[in-house]
Amino acid sequence: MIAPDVTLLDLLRERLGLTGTKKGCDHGQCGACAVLVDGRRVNACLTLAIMQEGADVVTIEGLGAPGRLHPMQRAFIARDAFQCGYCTPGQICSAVGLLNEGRAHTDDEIREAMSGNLCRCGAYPNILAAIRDVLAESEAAGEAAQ
Amino acid sequence: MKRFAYLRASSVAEAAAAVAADPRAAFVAGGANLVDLMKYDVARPTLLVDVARLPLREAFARVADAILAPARPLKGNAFKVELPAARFCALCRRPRAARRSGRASKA
Repeated sequence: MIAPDVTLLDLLRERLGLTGTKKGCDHGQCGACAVLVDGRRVNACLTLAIMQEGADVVTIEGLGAPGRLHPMQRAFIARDAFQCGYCTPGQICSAVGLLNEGRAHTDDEIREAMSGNLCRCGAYPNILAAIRDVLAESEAAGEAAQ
Repeated sequence: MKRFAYLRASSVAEAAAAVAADPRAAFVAGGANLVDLMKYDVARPTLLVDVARLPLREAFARVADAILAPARPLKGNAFKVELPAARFCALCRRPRAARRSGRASKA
């Protein structure tokens, strides 16, 4: 049983041992705790675990693993889109959520849609480049399929 | 965060009844505002009623119809909508204090 006051973030980190999702501000301002709930990006620090009963929660651990990385993880490495790496799991989950939404196409739209994820190292240009790469890949794949 | 009880309402009517019956209850949908305020002990509901999985689009459409019904047409497509003054604080749900006039009245 989970007490009602346990956030999804604390459930993941403290009870399930999934420490890939980071606790930054714990107040929904930094995006380090972003995870995918039923495919949508959510700040895990501001949702209660009990509210997500039955939902499909994907963290950075579930996106990929060494040897079988998610395309977004590969792009972050290829573009050197981090320095310290603390915000990276949230950045990547948020970027995957953004691609699921299908509403960002230009650089400015990507920046706006990623504005909930802060990076104190200032790796923003490389984060943008990584997301742009994956977006271009998926759009090319979509056009090829049509 | 203070301890609280949690109820996932199974209908709009159940959610409304649960919050109406308990002055220290609060609705929660996503939690982005309320959970943050609860962490700071700014909001201290003793019961959270979860409305996230309810068909609220229909409920709000009915409320919107009711609000817009007495709208008076102005020029062109503009309408003047007259709303009753909010009697309860949206956050704490306590009755709002009656608005005081600028001058102290001498009875």
